[in-house]
Amino acid sequence: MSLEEKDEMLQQKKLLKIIEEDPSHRNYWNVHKRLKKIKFSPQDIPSTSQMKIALLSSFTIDPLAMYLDIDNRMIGLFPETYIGPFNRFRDEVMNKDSGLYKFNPDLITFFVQHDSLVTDNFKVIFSRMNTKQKRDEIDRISSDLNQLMDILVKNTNAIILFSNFIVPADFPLGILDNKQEIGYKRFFTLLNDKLESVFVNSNQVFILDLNNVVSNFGKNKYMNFPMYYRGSLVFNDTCLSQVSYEIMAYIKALKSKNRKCIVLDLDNTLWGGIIGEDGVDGIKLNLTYPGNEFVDFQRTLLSLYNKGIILAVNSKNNETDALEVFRKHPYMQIKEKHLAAYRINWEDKVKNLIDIANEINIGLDSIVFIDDNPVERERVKSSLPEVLVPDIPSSPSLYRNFVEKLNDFNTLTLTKEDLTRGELYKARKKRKDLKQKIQSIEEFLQSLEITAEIKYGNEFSLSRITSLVNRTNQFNLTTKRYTEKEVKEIHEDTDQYLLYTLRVRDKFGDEGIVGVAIIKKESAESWTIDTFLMSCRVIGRKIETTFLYKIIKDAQKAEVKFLHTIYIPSRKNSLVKDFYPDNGFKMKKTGIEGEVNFQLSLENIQISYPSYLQVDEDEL
Amino acid sequence: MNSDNSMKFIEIVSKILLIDQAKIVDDLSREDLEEWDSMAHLVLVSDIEQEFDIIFSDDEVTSIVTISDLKNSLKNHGIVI
Repeated sequence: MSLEEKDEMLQQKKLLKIIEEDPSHRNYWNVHKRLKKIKFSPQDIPSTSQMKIALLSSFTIDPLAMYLDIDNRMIGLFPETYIGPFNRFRDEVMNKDSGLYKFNPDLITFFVQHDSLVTDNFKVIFSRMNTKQKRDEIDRISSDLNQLMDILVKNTNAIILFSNFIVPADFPLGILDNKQEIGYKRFFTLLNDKLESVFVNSNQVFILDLNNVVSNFGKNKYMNFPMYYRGSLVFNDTCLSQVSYEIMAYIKALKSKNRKCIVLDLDNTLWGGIIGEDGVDGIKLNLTYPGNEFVDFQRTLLSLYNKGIILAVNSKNNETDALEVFRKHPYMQIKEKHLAAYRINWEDKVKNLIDIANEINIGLDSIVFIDDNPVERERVKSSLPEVLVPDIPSSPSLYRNFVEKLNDFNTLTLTKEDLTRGELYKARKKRKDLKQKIQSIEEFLQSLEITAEIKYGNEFSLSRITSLVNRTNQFNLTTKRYTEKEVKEIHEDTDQYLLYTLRVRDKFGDEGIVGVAIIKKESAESWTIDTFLMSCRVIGRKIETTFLYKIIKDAQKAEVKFLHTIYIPSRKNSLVKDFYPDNGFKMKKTGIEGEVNFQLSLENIQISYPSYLQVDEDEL
Repeated sequence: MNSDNSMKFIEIVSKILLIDQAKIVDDLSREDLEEWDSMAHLVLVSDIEQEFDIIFSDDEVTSIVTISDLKNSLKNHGIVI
């Protein structure tokens, strides 16, 4: 039995799900306690997934250990934590028989508040200290820490993560603090600078920029003062998760859980709008709002590219339409040359992702997939759990910040020779077998809980119908355009016409009206589909077939014998050229403009809607 | 009784002390419950403080031994469970 199938693993998965849904402090506490009761047998855990973390500090650090424990498990690691005795970090380092060395950690984190390195009344006397005394104090503290780190480096191969000092937000000298040669704030800034420069070339000691984490969080709120005085607990709950997140950046790099490649969707991800509908001139990509959101997002992606992250594209589009943007759009920041691979087609994005991984020869576990469409994300998440599929915010204005905050693109520029333990530093992970079982598309569609609502046009839907009729280019069989007045006439002329709307809902939300069909009742025996169109957002879920079936069903009910259809090719609609023959229509004749006439004989035809769709329909 | 406060209170106690909601009774005491150690006590007190936006007095923090003590302390701060 593989580890995945073990009872212990399933229990853990269930508990971690609680955190995924609500990462509150009380859930962390609760889940952490319950996880502790699950006993994994050590031989089940691959050595590459083990992670031993020691935490040394001058204050109570247990809550951080709890966050790290869970956050490691969330990315598939099996952590063990060691918490050094309260404020005894010096002894732990100096004494070769200490618990720290017995534990033999992979990572040692150090959290030392300045209070424990200076005299008790340091803040009290600071205003009276002269510059020389302050400089001496900075030198004393940094050489003290330097010595401590030296001893650690000699005695262990672990990565050492030393958190810098939080530059205080309260200064005894008030507004005159920065009029001193070394004010209170500058004192700690200098100390931090010194620490960074001492270890700048070390490939074992890293400075964790705690000051930055706490600044981002807010210096006025990172401490829970009652808890600080009651139990020497420094960080409040929300700040703790940020500190843990920062440490996880190092752990991901150390354990090869970092990501090397970003695979991007195009429409409404790299630019605003839909290229197939809006055209190169119509998409949002500009230096002014709203196109500037996408330009900025692309620049962030390029900054990642410049530090070695691979970019690729996976999009449902006509390849020529999409590539035209890369080649011709003046504000397109990402060019074809930046892409290691692209799959721009109408295939399943899961298949495309596997193709891309194969083409650039990386594992799926190195990929981050970014797509604005939650349905596509869900499809990839459920079929390829190794791929990281972040739920990007729905507003493009937040894309940039969201990607910049991901802690998955880091490396610790370490060479094999630096440390003896090669296991940690395998340059490249073995590529996983990609021929894994992919969840069938039907199973996936079932899980989406799709409802197709097919109604006859009404006065409330007329303007939406008009807009779709005039804007839809790709999934549009005839590309006939009608004004709102004409649509209204069609709607009212019930003897001659039938007007349908299609609205789609799934568990992610309501897409609204996304499809329109216009049927001309030529005679009692024969109907013609004058217009049949759908928004590209919903295609690939057999919704288009369902919509067509509804028309066939109605025609049969009206005892019509033949359904006639026509495909009129345009520059944009090659996607649907086989739509009618794929659904059993017979070709009748081809016209001079390339238009193709089809016919379906309705006698003896049995149709039924796909089982995974709920159809909510008006009846004739 | 305020049912909204009561639900929040029960959720916190249940999650921090790992106890079934149904088993949370007034005379449940720190002595009866292994999970209610000194760390859990601090976390419990702090979570309740944050949820109800209060700060317990030092006497309250040290003298709370039972669920009923907790409720009484909350009452002192105007929170009715």
